[in-house]
Amino acid sequence: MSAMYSKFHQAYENRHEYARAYPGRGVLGYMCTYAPEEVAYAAGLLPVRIVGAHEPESVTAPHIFNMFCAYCRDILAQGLTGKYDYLKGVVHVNCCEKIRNAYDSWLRHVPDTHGYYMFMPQYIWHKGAVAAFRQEVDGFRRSLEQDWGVSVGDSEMDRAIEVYNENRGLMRQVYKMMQEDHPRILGEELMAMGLSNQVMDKVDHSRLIREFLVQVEGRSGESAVRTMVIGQTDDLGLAQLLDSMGARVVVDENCFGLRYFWDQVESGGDPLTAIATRYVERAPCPVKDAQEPRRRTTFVTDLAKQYGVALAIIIYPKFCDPHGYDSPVLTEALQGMGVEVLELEQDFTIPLGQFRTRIEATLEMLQLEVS
Amino acid sequence: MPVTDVLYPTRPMDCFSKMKELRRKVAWDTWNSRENGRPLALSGEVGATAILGAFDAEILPSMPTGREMRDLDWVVKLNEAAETKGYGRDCCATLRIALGAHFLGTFGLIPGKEERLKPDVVFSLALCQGQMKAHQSYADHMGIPTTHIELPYSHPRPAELTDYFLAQSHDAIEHLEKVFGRPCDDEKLIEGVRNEWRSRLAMARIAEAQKAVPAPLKLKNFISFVVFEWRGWNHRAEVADFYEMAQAEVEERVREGIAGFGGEKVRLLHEGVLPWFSNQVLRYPEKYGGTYVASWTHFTNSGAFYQDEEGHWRVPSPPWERGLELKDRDSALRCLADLYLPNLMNNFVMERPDHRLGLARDWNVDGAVYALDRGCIGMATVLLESVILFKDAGIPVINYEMCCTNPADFDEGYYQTSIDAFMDRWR
Ligand code: SF4
Ligand code: SF4
Repeated sequence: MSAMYSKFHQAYENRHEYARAYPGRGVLGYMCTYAPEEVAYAAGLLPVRIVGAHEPESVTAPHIFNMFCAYCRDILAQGLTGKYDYLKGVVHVNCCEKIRNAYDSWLRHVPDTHGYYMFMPQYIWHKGAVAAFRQEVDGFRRSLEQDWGVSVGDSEMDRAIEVYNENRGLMRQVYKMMQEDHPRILGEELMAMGLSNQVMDKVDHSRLIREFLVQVEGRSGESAVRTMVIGQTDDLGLAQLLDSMGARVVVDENCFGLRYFWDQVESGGDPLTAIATRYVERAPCPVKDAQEPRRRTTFVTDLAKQYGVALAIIIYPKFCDPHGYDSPVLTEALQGMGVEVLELEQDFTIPLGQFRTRIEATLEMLQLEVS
Repeated sequence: MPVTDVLYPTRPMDCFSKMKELRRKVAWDTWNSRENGRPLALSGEVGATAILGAFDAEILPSMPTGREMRDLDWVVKLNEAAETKGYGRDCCATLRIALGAHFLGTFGLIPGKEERLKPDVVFSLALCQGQMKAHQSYADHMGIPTTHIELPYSHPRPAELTDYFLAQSHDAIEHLEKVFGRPCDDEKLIEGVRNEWRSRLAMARIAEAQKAVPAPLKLKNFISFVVFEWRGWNHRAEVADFYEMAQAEVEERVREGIAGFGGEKVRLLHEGVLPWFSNQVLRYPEKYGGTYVASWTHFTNSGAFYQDEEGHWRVPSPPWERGLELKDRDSALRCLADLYLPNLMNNFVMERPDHRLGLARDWNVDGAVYALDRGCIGMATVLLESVILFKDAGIPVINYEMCCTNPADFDEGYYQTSIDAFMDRWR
């Protein structure tokens, strides 16, 4: 296999420098991928996901109870220590209670923060969910117009939708390639592409994907244990570890990967309704998939089938209850279709040594079953 | 051990025996629901149960029973059962032990019989995402459908989301008609909505009576009233009647200067959920003349309040006093929206610290004790921001950690030592 394409990785590593140098109207941070980014982009702002640094911190203890997930404490720590001092505002769409605490504490203690809060239905199948969210998206649009003296009309939104949809289409193209028997793309590249996507202007990111696709053309593939990462992780360490052990992430159902970009906005018609519909109907996260029949289980098992997955790794931050409630259900469904499942828990950092041992044991078992 | 002076007269509440009787009656109605040909919903907590009342449905509470909460060995077993099935300590502790009871096959077991009640549907007015996920797991386990109405929280424009609340409520009624195989009786819906309003207003007035010095009730006694709300029975006429009777008695105690705790010297606020398995937590400060008189958690769970522009807590007037008619299904549902959207403070997560400060001031609280509950994420959200606000306002505050349903996670000795030190400032 040819050398790794590292530009996604670099872009992610240099996210703060990139954002500081951004030539547009400024940068807006968001904490949850249900934030309707297209609207902020249409207002000339760069929406970026606020992510953790994966380092121990000592600043959030007075604000967030220590049994809340490491992710929400890590992102708040970034705000409190000034890592995001370039943000013009923080937008939050309600998902779980814990991250709402992070958002609230951010507004209270990070100076000069413009906060934008939106309600987003948790029961996404309800009549009226799209209309309710459309109302909130419109409120967000109006707040941006008022706060930054810009006009966000239909044409600006149509253009933003186009840019986002194009990027989503390209991401899907890369994921499609992972269905090959001998994938040509490393798991780390796939994950780095997803992570960098959340911190870059989509025009720049799409350019990188095109460049990447050209490079991949000339590569030959490799066989590896086909692995799916499920849950929530923004640490590249896991994909690197798997690559080094003969396992390959061929698909994911990760908040920092596929779940973020998978669904397009239907263009044409009222852009606010189109955006609201996309977010209500997109691949659900465990917080939103709270009703019967479950959507997420079917979504995950369908992906596992399409990508011929042999091993599924369910990983999410310690003390995350929405993922905690879904994990037993997903495990049962995946095992029922013959997929080996390994559940891993992540804190501020990934305990690589411990993970290695557990993954090794699982891989050994899988090889035995295969032979 | 300090000696507590008796400063005020006390006497037991007359209505407690009535409460016990009523509790038995409604529980009995639940256990006999099948024999009586009634539909059954797994529900409780928060409200909108008038919708179930419109179908004559009985309610099997989704919360664990008192027996499950107090029997320590049993609680440990329930926790283990949930854990074995993969539901770890991250999940809401209260609903996790109910999940344990589902797995052990004891959930809904009819007292004195081998039989278990199987509800037709899980119904909830959903507030906390942990509750929503746990209810989904119950439905999965029992193989029954769910119908939920979500309380939209939109900062700062809740009223704009009334349409969404209404759309969901109409939707829920249509779904329940299919699940129960009977039509919604709109007259009963109207009656139930009126009763939910009455129950919550009476509880709010009882909470308000706690502003008096001495407070007419110990917090423990106030919490014992909340049972009807937790169990989803606020829409029943006899429950609303009972609450109004209790309100009259509490107000009479205020007029007569009767105290919940006769040694009241220091008025305390207890915040967060309590360790259900310990009877002593609320009583402990009494040896120093301290008594818990208020709690944002329990006042907002059971009453109806809003905060005015000066930060004072206010009780809303009922819709029928504001010219809102309760005449058909839609107007009844609008009155439910009118109750829960603006007046369920619980739902305004980011305003909680300010609510709590307003509460401490309005109820003349001297100090606050915060329970950082590892098991209830819903109530622990932004709790520490409230601690900061209290400190800034000069109100003494301490916190302790525990898990409301897991005795292994509560160090009672540590709690007592912290209270010993905390109460020292008022000696
Ligand atoms: S969903 Fe889980 S990981 Fe995400 S903020 Fe909530 S608790 Fe944390
Ligand atoms: S509020 Fe607390 S006890 Fe209630 S469902 Fe949420 S986490 Fe559980």
